[in-house]
Amino acid sequence: MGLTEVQKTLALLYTNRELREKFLSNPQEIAKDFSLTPVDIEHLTALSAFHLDEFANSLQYKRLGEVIKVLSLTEKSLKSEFSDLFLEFTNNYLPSGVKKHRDDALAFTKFIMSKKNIPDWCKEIAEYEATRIELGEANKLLVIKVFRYPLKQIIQALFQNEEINIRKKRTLAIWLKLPSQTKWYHRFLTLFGS
Amino acid sequence: MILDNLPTLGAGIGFRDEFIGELFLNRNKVDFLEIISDHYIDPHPIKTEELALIRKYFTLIPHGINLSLGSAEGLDKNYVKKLAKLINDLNPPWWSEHICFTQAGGVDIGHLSPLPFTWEAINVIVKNIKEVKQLINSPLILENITYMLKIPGAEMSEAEFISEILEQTDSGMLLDITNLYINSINHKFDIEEFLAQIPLERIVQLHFVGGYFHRGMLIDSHSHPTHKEVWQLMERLSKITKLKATILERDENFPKFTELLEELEHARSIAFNPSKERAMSWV
Amino acid sequence: MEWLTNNPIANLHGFEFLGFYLCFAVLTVVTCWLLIKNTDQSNSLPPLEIPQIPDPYEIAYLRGKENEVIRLAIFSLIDKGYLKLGTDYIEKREGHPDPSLLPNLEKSLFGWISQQSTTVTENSVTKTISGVKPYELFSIKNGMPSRAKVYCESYQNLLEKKRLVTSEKVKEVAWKVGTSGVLILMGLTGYKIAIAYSQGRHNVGFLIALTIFSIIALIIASVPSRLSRRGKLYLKELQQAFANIAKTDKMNVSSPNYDSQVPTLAMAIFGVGILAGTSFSLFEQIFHRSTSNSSYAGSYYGSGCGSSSCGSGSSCSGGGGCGGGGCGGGGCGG
Repeated sequence: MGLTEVQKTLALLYTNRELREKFLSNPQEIAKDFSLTPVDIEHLTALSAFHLDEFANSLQYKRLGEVIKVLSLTEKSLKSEFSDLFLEFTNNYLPSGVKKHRDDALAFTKFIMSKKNIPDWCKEIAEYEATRIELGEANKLLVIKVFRYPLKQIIQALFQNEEINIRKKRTLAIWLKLPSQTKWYHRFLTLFGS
Repeated sequence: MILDNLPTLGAGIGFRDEFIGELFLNRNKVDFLEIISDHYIDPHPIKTEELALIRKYFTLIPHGINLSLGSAEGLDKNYVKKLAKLINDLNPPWWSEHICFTQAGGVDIGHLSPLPFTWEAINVIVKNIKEVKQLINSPLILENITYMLKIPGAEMSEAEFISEILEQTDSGMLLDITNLYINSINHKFDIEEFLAQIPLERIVQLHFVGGYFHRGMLIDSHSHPTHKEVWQLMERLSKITKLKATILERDENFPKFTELLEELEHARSIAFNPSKERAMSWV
Repeated sequence: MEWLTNNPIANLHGFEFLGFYLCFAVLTVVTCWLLIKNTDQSNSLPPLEIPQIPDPYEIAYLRGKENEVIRLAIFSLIDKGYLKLGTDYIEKREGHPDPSLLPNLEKSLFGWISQQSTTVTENSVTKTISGVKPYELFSIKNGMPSRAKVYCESYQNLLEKKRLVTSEKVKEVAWKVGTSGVLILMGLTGYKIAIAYSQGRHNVGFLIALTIFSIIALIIASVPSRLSRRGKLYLKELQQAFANIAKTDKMNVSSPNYDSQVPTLAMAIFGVGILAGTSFSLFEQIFHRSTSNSSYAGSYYGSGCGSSSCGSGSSCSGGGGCGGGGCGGGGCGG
């Protein structure tokens, strides 16, 4: 039982900030809450607080790095707020499995969309990128999403580091795939202003 | 020993989507590829096509990152089954995984986490490795990891811990010389002592890349050119082991591909052509 | 001869016959399509290897014949400093390098554009420039595609030799099979109309409409695609193998990852749409409007993984190797 319980405790300490902070301020007390032997407790309380914190932070930053790779537009639109939001988000969500970074990114876009103080156009960029990620797993040939902002222009401006025109203009994002093909064809269709 | 019959593959690179085009434009300069197995388990259809494409042009070595061989609660049977299918389909000369654990109690840590250097941990990992070996035909080689955090309660040195696992499971070793160098800096131990304690004849493959210093620690970020000390270590190992392969394992902060090719060429000249005069500017 | 007017087909009436005809037409179309498809045996050859030094013009020709080659040549001439882009026109650049250094196709194209003049309006000012509007490049009257055709003959021969384009034999079979199918369908319709008229019925409007619809479907199914099966596979593999070069950071001049050879190769492999969101987006905007014969309808903004996606990252990778991290302490692994 020893190693099993030690690994469970370590896994939680690495990934749960609240528990880690409690543990680092009072290791003996927290270690008792797990089914650990006195020897294990002694070993765990001897963990270097600095290194434990460094390791745990590195895990969060690794997740952040992977999520930025698939949500690059959202990251460009939110700028530094992106990482602050992500670190807040990681307090309550831990992905698992071989698609953990994909799941992480999708869950994070939902988190962004649920936030009140984020501009709507940024939320739409997050929703757009979430749709792109989901397309890979979608068993569909046609996906159409309606957005309130001119995403094509916004995306181009984001990549050119230009000023974003945030005037609403209803836009359809259309993805089309031929049967038996893996590639999606994508068009934006700007409908009208509002 | 099964390792004696392994082919010499040369100098390869860890395959990443970020440089696939450049890879195809320079494929005569890359001897083989190492792929992350997890990217092709339950894959996106485009990843399936990508795998089919690269295997047409390169020998592939699958490299696992999420098997969690050191998990005391045992292996994820479903994951092992999928991994075994992938590797058996590819039928590589060998495959590799890490001496570590990545999950426990339903929590996926998301990274390679160190095991305590204890007999209990050895028993756990040996049992798990034997279980996996029954399902996968190709030989397994095991990699040493870097660890920021040393788990207290060690009953032996890291080198003794690794050696015991290699011997008990009759596995090869993937010696990550960057990890070894980083650990020696961060945990202040002598690399020569480490090398004296591991079975050098089991070393099949090397990993190398560069990291950076952060708050007094050398970080294994896979993001920088290989450290000169790591090149020196490779040179030392090329003289005392029979290397089959070296892999440049760059994951982040990609430079122009030509810079990666220069590193590969340098590794090739060190590991597989030791008599060749080398550009000393590297070290 | 009574069997001619008294048989199961002749005795079918109204919607019963229309249902029968529809099934027969579907069967005919599918049979013709399969016959033509299976005539193309190019896929039994080993797939063509991806070249280590790809010729962008050969790839552009494979993808979209002369028009794609013209687009690529214009792009190359702009890139090399011979031409420049206006808001909706292409103009000869003052102080351009020596045209004799150019490959023949580019030299011919540059020479032709230099001789043209067109009136353009920019910032409310109308002026005459030495250049052309993009659509003029593709007009039959100006004959740029036919000029390009001369230079592209060698590519056509090469692609035929490599069995990347549909062979004359397949085209011949397709024509024979398609014609036979049309004759069969028309024959059945004619026979039924004759029977109907002989029996005093004239309600054949639906049958004629169904026949026209079926023949159109048959013609579509019988026209072989320009690329052979081997050609399609080769193009697909090229697009897979070079999926990453289309990322905008490699095509933005200000990016540290910019590689001057990448935009030309990316455009050859993926088409003009790939330039959207890059330093060359003006070219994409101008040429998208003038697209007349691209082999891919629509922009190549791509999505999910693999294709370009306005330069944003791929979203299919499981992500992460064993290192990574960074910023504040990452890494820690194998």
